[in-house]
Amino acid sequence: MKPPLISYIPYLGWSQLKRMAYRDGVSMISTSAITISSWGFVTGLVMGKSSLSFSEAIFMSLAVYAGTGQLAVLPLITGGFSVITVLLTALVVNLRFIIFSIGMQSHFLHLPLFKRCILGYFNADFSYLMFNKRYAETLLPSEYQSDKATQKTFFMIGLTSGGWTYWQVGSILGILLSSQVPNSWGLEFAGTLALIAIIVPSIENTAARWISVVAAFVGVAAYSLPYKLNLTFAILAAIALAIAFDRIPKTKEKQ
Amino acid sequence: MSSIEIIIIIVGMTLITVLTRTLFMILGDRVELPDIILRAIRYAPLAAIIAIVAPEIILPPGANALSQFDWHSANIWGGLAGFITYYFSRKMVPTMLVGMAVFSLVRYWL
Repeated sequence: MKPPLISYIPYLGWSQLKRMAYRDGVSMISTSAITISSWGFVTGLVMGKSSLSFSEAIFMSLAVYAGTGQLAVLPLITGGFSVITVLLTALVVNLRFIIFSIGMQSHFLHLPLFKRCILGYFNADFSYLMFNKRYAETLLPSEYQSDKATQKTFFMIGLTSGGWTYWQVGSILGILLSSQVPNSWGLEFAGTLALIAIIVPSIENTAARWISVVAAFVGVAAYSLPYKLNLTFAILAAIALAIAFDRIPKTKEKQ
Repeated sequence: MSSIEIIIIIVGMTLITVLTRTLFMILGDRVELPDIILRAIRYAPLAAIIAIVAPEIILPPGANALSQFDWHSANIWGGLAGFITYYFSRKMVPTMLVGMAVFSLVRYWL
């Protein structure tokens, strides 16, 4: 006998166990709903004020779904830099997601590759932090068929679907409202402020502070070079410094 | 920038999101990235963001060298206000409000 049609509908067709885990995920990400939506909102405003058309901005919001990358790239698009420069910048800013994917893969080995990748695509900063707060330990191969594996998966589906929704609501609202704001307000500056808010929490240790100072200096001093080479030089300096700091014995570092 | 280029950028950025967020979900534990590479790239995103933001804050609009530095530039004061507000509040909304307010005040009155 074929299973009833309702069993194919997300949520309605799920078992009690799956529903509970999913709701758990949604309510956990909801504790940050305002933060996620306000980030989305600012990103939406900046996209709306950039040289993107309305539909391009909506397309970018729904498909790219990487706020920091979008904020970083928009001034380059408006500045008329080449497609390659823009894409390389997006790639470097998104490098941290590779570290997320290393953290995530060991938790979802019980899923087929395609489903693992779907979860990975929707896994942004907040869901990553919250998932790791809830589940520190990975599954043993003997647990792949267990309720624990199912709970993990559906908790993550709850986190990511909630996070995506909060982000997109804020972002699309921002795109819609940006046309109501006069150009003379200089709203593009909100994008710079948002990037400053991303920088502040990342400069909590000595290495990050030195790297920031050097990157800022290189970024400004080499600003007149073509092809946004100041960016490339700042990144190379950061990589060199990160390796150098790594060689300093940890005991020397003041906390 | 033409709309074809914009479409290429959006599609390309989407692929970058997919690739970076799923890289090790695809590779699994067959490949292990050496520790040195992971540590070396740790600060690359930060450096990229700073290299984008710093000239916007420090250089006046339209300038391209530090010799054109101008204390009357609204970006400096707005950026500084935003930095301080976020540092102490850790909240996005007050950072936007204070940063934009200072930016606008300096722009109109200085």
